[in-house]
Amino acid sequence: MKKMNNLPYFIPDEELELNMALLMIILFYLAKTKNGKFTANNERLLLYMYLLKNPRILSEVLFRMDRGSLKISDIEYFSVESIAVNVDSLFNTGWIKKLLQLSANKKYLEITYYKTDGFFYTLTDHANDLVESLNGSYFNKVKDYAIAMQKIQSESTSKLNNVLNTLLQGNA
Amino acid sequence: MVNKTNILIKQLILVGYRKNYLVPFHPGVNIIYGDSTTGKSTILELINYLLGSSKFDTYDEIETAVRYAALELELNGKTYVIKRDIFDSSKFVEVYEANYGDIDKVFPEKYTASYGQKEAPSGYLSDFLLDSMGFPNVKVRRAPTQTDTKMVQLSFRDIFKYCYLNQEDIGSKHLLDVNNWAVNNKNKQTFKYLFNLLDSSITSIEHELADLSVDKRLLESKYNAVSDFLRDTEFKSLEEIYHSSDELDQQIEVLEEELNQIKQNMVANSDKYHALKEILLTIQLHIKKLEEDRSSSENAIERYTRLKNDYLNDIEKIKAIELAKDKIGNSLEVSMSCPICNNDLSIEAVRESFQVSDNDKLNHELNILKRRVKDLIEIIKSEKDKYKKATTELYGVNIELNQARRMLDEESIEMITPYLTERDAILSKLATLTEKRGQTDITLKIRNQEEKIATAIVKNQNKIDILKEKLQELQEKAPSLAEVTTKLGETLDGYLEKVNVKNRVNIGISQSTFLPIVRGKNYIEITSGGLRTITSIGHFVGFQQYSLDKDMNLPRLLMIDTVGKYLGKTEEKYFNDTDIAEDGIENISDPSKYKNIYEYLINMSEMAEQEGKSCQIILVDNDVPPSIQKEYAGFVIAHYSSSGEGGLPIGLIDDADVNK
Repeated sequence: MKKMNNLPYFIPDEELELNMALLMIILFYLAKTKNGKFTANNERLLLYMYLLKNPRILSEVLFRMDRGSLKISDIEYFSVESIAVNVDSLFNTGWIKKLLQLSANKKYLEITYYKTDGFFYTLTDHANDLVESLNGSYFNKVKDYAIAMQKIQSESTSKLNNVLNTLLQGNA
Repeated sequence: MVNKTNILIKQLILVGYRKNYLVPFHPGVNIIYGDSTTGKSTILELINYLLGSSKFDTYDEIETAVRYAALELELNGKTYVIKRDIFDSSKFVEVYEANYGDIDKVFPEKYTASYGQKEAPSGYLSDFLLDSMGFPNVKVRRAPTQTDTKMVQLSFRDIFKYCYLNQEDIGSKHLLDVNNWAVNNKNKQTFKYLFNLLDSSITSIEHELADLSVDKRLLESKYNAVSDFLRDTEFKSLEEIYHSSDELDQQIEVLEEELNQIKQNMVANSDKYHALKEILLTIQLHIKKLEEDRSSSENAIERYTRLKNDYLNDIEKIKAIELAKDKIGNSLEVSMSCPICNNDLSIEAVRESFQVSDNDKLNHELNILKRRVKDLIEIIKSEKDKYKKATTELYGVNIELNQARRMLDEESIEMITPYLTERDAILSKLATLTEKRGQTDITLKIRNQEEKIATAIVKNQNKIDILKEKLQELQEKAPSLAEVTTKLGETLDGYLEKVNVKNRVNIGISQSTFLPIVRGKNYIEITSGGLRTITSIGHFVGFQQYSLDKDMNLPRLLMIDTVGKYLGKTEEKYFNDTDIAEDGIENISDPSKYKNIYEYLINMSEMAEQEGKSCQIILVDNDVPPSIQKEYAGFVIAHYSSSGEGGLPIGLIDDADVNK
């Protein structure tokens, strides 16, 4: 995401450390499938990050793909944010690369490179420990979301994108 | 040379196989006499047949000897030959306009003898004979006293009955078919025709009158039918009908006006109604305002709540950021490089995409947010209170509204009901009146039809009256029946005097039967056959005499078969038809009477000749008074003896014994 026109608004979602934490939580639960296959590439991570930050949309996606529903708190559900959908982060994708670079710098990521498919990421042990120490009402909530997302781990990125597009077009 | 002749028989020719058999005739009296069965009657029958009678009874001698018969005669000065097949009466009759010797040189006209048969190329024989003798061609009524019977053609045959007194009819009680009503009627019509008592224009008027009478009857029955029908309705006259329909129209108009008035009045005239309506409106407006207020509260609550939640979310996130910062530590270093691509990662670049806040900032934000949340909670609460209040108020006002509506409906019903009742009553009356009006129209139409028929009847009657007047006029111009019968009576009286019939009183002609009356007795009541013979001859003589003196539609030809019937030697076959005793009283067998008859006849024709008129008489008899034989031998044209005694021909077919 690009910061919103450098306006003097404090936007928690754009805070660097928050994003790094979210990234690590994602990788913690969703880097590999049960079979051990790597699933987290740039594109995928972009999608996961978006869904994590927009739990209402995540719930809808799960529902549309017959993966049940997501329990969302009233505060999340009944907010201004939840009805003012911002898809900026999905299109301006430079930020995910920077995030990954920074995370790699901090030695949180294990990076695997496939010639055909590109880079895939998993967490280092150090990062895993870090994730386990992240709690509090927010992070616990987010971890539940990530676990829920495991249900769609096996779906292809393009399919997920389609569902998301359809959803967002309906909401537009 | 005689002029004023209408018919003159010249000769009868029987064309035979072996030879032709000729009978020549003279003007005036022609006597044929001889034994019986010598063919004397046959001669007259042949003449009759050739003048169109329906049948000719042949017998052996004729059949074996004769092929066909022909009659040479003059009709109003022109000579014709009439040829006819004596065996087949339905065959056409041929008429040649020539002497018998010249018939090969001309083509004949072909005629049908009977009106009942199909018309021949030249028409009917009767028409030819009537035209040639200059007699009018008329139709007469079948039953003269009834105006609507059919008209039938008067034929030559009807007229010729008054010229030919055959063996059966002479002295017969059935003279001129007096006992056959239908035929006798025709004969009486013919009688009138002979004396011009029957005018053809009279008959055509009578025909028209017959048609008009039929029409009149039809119209009258139609009128009666319509009148009967109308008698069942209550109206007697056209005026009444018009009056009634006008009245109904007026009544209908009045009712329709009333109906209109009601419709207008039904629209609320009640004050209470108006007041209630206003109250209702006010309440409705109030409700609208309350609903609007409540709705805006509702919206506010939602907006503020969402905002509050947003703040709460952010508070949560800030707390999480603080924790993350703590765990992650300093994520930005002076020099960073991407471990993969070895590119430098500058802090500026990072700050382009991410927000990096220090703890103070975070704290600051946190406090702001907390404060805001607190404020919002209060605001939300107050809005909720407003909402509740509005809801309660609305509830109350809605009750008021329903109440007001109910009162308004009640008031409406109360107000309209009497109007509705009145309206229904009027509609019902209107329906009845409209129906009555319709009925009146129908009655009017029928009444008008009746009028039309009545007018037609009057017109018809006028026509009848005019025609009857005309008819009377015409009839007055014609000679009266009385005049005719008086004259005939006089002739008869003179004749009877000459014949020397005793006790001649009350001699005349009956105006009802047109037959002679002798001593006040009708002809058919005369019991003496001999007197009847004498009288019947006298009757026919009367016609001929009248014809000589006045204009008459009668051929001046008289054929009498067996003058001496009942006189002198009455044949056995006629014994039953006469009262011998009466004959004795009359002294019928007095030969002078017989002679007198002949003489009268001869005298009559001679007198006619002297006046330049023809009157041909052909007499057939068994015997002729000896004095006549001597004096008037010249009048004898045929004398037959069946034994051939004295060299006389044995009969008409004088060579009949050739093949025997």
